[in-house]
Amino acid sequence: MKADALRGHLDSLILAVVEKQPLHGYAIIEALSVRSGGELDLPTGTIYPALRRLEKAGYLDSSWSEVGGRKRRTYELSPAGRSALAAHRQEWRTFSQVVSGVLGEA
Amino acid sequence: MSAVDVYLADLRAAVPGPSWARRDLLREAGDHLEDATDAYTRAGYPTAEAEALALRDFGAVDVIAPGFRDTVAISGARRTAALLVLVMIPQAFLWDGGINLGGTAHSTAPDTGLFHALDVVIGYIGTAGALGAIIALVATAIGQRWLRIGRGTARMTAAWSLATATVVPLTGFTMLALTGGLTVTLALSAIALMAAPFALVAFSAQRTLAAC
Repeated sequence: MKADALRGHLDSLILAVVEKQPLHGYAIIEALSVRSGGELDLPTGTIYPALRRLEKAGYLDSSWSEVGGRKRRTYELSPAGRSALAAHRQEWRTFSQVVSGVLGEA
Repeated sequence: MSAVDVYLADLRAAVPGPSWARRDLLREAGDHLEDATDAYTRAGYPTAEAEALALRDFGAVDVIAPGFRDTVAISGARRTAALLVLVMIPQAFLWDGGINLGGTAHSTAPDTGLFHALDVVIGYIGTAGALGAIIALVATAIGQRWLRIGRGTARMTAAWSLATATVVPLTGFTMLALTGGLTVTLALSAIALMAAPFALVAFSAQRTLAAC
């Protein structure tokens, strides 16, 4: 799946992968890759401006911590991020039901 | 120099702006490339090939740099707007009410059209400058929940702040000079409490414009 198809959804996908535990940038990319079955095809460097935007918007909190003996900036979901993720999930369910209803096989 | 070092140097060169705003972002990019190279090395690739694969995944500099530039420019704009708010808020308290440093000058204020016009200008520009800075501060932080903010907004914020930080102290100094009551103490106070803080805002605005 190309980056263009992801436009508008990348923020929600990032919020979803840090939902259970704090992760650093590379681990977020790995989680996105694993959870998408390797279908996400975007330059991994594009994740960092998105992470910074989500942090400044109040959806993510970040801190520097030790990961495997190295200092890494890790991101975790804030309460506002959790609410936003729940709202995105609901919107996506409604959207996918509508589209499936129209495009699905008769 | 390794391929990763060369890439990071190219990325740094392609992302101008305040060093404090670039530092963490470029460090994270370096950390990512280190982790990705390690992962490929563990998978059995020789170091040079592992680095090349990590860089391929990360994206070419001309693909990645625009997003990084947006981030740096927005950070610069946010800091400039915050500075302008901090500098603007105490000005009325310092010069007109509260501490009223301009009190001695006010008593000798000339009753001329020019002076009254400047009084109106500084009032409106000061208020508009502060309101604009507050709006920019919100837009470049929590406002990103609803708005797509990029270099255009950063440029507008920096230009607005630069204009305010130039016009307000110039008008203020002109008014003080026109009163004829400008003492050495008052001039030094104006430099320390008005000119210097606004110069800081102007410097921050110029660095933000360079990042746009």
